[in-house]
Formats: sequence, C-alpha cells, structure tokens
Amino acid sequence: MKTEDERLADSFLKAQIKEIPDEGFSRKVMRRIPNRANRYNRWWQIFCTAVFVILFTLLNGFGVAWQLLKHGYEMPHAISFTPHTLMLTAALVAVGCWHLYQETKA
Amino acid sequence: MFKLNQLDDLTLWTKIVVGHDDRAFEKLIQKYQGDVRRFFLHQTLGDEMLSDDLAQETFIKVYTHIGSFRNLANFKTWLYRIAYNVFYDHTRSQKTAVDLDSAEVMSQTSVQRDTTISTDIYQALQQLSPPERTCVTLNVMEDLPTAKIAVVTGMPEGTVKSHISRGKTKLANYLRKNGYEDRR
Repeated sequence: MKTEDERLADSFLKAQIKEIPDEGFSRKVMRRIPNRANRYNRWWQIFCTAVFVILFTLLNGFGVAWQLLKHGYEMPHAISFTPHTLMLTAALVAVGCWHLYQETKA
Repeated sequence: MFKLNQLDDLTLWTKIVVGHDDRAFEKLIQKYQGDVRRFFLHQTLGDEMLSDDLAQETFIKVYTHIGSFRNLANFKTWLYRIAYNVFYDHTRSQKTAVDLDSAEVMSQTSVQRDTTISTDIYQALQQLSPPERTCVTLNVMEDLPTAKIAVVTGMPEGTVKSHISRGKTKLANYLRKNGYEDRR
C-alpha cells in the first residue's frame, strides 16, 4: 500500500519521463569502439604484407636473396643496388617498421 | 523464462560475441541509449554534455566486456551496473567530490542543462542525496525493482528501500512546498 508521499513523488517523476532521441549518439559511440580501430589496423597490416609479397615476387626477390646468400658474404662489393633491389629493401623496411609500431602499441 | 525483449537481447548478444557483428552492437546502443542517457541526466542533474560522455564510456565498457557477460536474463541490470560504476568513478575522480554521499557535489558544478526537459525535475532531484537520487530514479523512472537496484548499486536491499522511502518523502515535501499538488 502506497503512502500519500509515495503517490505524489511517483506521479511527479513518471510525468517527467521523456524519450531521448538517438540523434547520432550511437554513431559517435561506434566511432570510439577500440576493437574497430584495431580491425582497421589489421586490414592495413594485411595490405602492407600483400604489397610486400607482390613486390618480392615481381622484383625477383628470391633470386636477389639467393645471390646475396651465395656471393654477398664473400664479395659484398659485387652486389649492385639496382632500383629493384632498393624498392625491395624499402618495402621490407616499411613492413618491418609497421610490425614494430604495432608491437610497441600493444 | 525469457521474455520477448530478453530474447531480442540474446539474439543481439550472440551476433556481437559469436559473429563479431558491429551492426548488432549499434542496434543494442540504439535500443538502450535513451535509458542510459536519461539515467546520467538524472544523476548529473541535467548536465547534457557530461551525461553523453558518461553514456559513451558506458557503452564502450559494455563492448569490451560483453564477452564475459553470462547472465543473459539480466542484461539491463548489468548495463545499469556498468553505468553506475562509470558515474561512481567519475564522481570519485572529481576533486570537489570527496564522497558520493555529499549532496553538494553536483550543485557546485556548472552544468549545461538539457533544455528539452523541464528543469523542475532537476530542481526536485537536487533535494535528494546522490544515493537517494540513484535509487529513486532507477525505481520510479527506469522501473527497476529494489532487488535489481541492490545489484546495480552494490547496496543491501534494505538500504535501497530506505533510500527510496526517504527520497520520496523529501520529494513529496518539496513538491508540496512548491505547489505541485495544486497543479495536478
């Protein structure tokens, strides 16, 4: 059984209940979700790795690596730095840096 | 026995946890944003900007912890518990707020009022101590029974009942003093 005070307080409070429209609130929250940011990073990581693999294959990375292993140790001066090898090295360094950045962030 | 609303929560929960479905989480926010933002508006006495910040923080915590949530019949209680903890942490982090029981905490801060809702409600709620305000608003405006308010706030159920009773008496006295009874 409700007292008069309870009835008065309840009727006042219930009359004040208002629906609050979303007005972009849920979108704002979705933009701040941490896992979502990580997921974008993961896609970027996959993209970088794919670029590296494609470049490595197109620019005969295996051949270059083999030549480096075969002769590089004995005659480092014999290795010529063509634009291809430079691009390959740059791609390798970029992917390596990205992974390092991700590791330190985690 | 699950109610229809709880089944809907269960479906969304499964999509979020098992399917990693962001759209399902967005639907969950859309479903509960009104309740959570209203809860914060009442606790902050109408500070719209702060309420939205706290509500955002609440939903981010929900997202990061939803995998560990198991009691599927009580999603709303769990949500309010997170919201209450976010508010409690916020109040504690404020230098002026030494204690949640201090009734002056919110009245001292300059607030950007929500102009779409009558300020009467906030003036009336200002008469209550923060625990009374939390218990009364959860009980009357969010329709939570005392047992669930006890889970949300971590207070014994008897204490919740006392806060509700004292809070309503204070409110009734304030309303009578301001002629609310005559306006009904």
